[in-house]
Amino acid sequence: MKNRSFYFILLVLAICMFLAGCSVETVDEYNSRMKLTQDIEGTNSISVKAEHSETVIEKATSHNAAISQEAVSVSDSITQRLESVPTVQAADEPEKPVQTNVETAPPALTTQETDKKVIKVKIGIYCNKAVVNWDKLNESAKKIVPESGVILDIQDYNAEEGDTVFDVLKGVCESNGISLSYTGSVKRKNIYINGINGLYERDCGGASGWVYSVNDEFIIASAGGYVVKDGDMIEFHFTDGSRVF
Amino acid sequence: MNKIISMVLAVVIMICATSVSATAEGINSKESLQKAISFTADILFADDEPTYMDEWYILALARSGENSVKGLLDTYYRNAEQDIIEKEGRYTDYSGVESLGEYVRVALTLTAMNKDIRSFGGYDLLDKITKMDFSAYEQSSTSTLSYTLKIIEFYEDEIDNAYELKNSVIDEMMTRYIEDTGFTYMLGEWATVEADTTAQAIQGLAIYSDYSDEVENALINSLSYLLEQQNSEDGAIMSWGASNPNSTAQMIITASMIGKDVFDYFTTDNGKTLLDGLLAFVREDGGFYEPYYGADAGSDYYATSQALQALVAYDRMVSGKTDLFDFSDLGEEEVTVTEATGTTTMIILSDPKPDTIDSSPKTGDTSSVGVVSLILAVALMSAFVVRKSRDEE
Repeated sequence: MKNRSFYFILLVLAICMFLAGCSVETVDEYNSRMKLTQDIEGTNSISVKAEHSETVIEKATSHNAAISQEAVSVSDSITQRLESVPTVQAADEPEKPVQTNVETAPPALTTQETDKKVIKVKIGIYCNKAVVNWDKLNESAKKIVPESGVILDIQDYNAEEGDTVFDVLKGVCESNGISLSYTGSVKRKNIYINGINGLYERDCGGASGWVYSVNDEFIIASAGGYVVKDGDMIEFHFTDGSRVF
Repeated sequence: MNKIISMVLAVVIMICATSVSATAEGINSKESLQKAISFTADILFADDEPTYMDEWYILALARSGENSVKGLLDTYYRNAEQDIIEKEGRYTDYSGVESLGEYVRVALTLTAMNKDIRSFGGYDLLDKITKMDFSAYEQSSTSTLSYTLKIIEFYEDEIDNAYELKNSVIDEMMTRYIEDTGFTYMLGEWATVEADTTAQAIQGLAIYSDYSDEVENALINSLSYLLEQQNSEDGAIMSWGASNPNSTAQMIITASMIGKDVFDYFTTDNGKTLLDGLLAFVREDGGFYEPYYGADAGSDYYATSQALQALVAYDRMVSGKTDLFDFSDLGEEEVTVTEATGTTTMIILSDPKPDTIDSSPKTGDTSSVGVVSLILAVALMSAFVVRKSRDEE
């Protein structure tokens, strides 16, 4: 008898779980599930659906063919977008006399160099946290850290349209004879800055290193991806690992 | 007789009930995964071949099991091999000191590709990693240590002091745990707990919940910390107070490792999941954008690499495969043969790892028990968090 009631409870529990599982399924989810079922049933077809759309296009092709098709269309649209960029830039700047050249000359590339708009920004480089934590500084770093905590006082810099924070830093370091050490590539936009002016990450404790802010907001992302805007104020700070923001 | 019928029925219904909910998210994420793979293959690496430093993409592609990217993996291997030959087998930081993180990242990627890490351009990466002075471990980030554990686990039989080394790494990781919260990137008196590192630390420690009470508590508190970082509006994990694709991606990798239940607990009151949180950052080209730059700045290298990993990790979980960093499935190579009639998938056994008898106790032996207890812990925690947030209202 005990056993029977145990199994009965188990059964009731299972039914409850089943119903609970069903009840959370919305109409959308049901439709999605049905599509998935179709996919599983027809192994030689793949369904391509727009997000939340009810339309299902059945492609009677192999899985791989469908993927490469999609890939081609994606890269096509990117190519188109890239090709259209110079024209868009020209249209945005009607005050520039070169615009007439853009219209008459064959596509952009030749005129692109002279056509770049100047973006006025400000940039400064600081290492106050290295100064206040002098005892924790590496011996080699002590020789190059300025007591003022200022490596480069805030100054104006003329960037070009599309320049990133990294481009600005690189430019200002070159013109002021400040050494810059980084990994990653400009093309990949995965630049990681590990040293400025001979002061490197971990020179002041394991979590120390370079961070930057734009208009007083600290950006926790690569300087190689942040495109600067007119009037931006960029500050590089050496942090000891504590929150500087 | 009735007993048997009701028993069978109960079991069948229980199986049905648990499998129903996995499908809806699966479809959306699968499509996003395909688009992210297309982005990587056809845009990112289109005219800029993958090489050393592109490991996180290559690892994800290798673990996706996608046949169409095999050429890309070969290209990476060729370029990265050339690179290590040029570097004379030394991955160093700016000061010329060998860097554990670099070796581990490359070794993980080569392992995922089923390549020999003991002879890469003529160099033995496993030797480099395991024979490095322990001070290099102490100087490494928490996430590097987490990935190092994966290397030690997979090559356990080939490492003399695997057991001791593993324990040392776990102990070192625990020094970066801040009581009652989560993990910090590095050890230091100013170190701050952050979401990405905390999620990555769990990825390494999840199977060691039985290592010590300290580790178990750290895991539970870390998950609790991450649950608190979830944005109740969009389902994403927040870093420095804002929804972030990188942190969300790391949490998806973590959740995929522990089990599907975690995704249920990380579902907000308005029904947003971690995947919703991640896919809020997807772009039309299949890449993901960095919120600091904005969607118009294009797809971001780092955000996309982590999102790709997360989508692969999730896909592996719903397909019942081993997790992103558990390479024990590598003996089986899945080969898709395309015929005029359609696609046939078959499993070919190739180069299985030899079963050697190991008398030394293994820290991860009771991993499944540990993970189950973790899931229960998350359940309790989420109930607590919900109650707490209601109290605050």
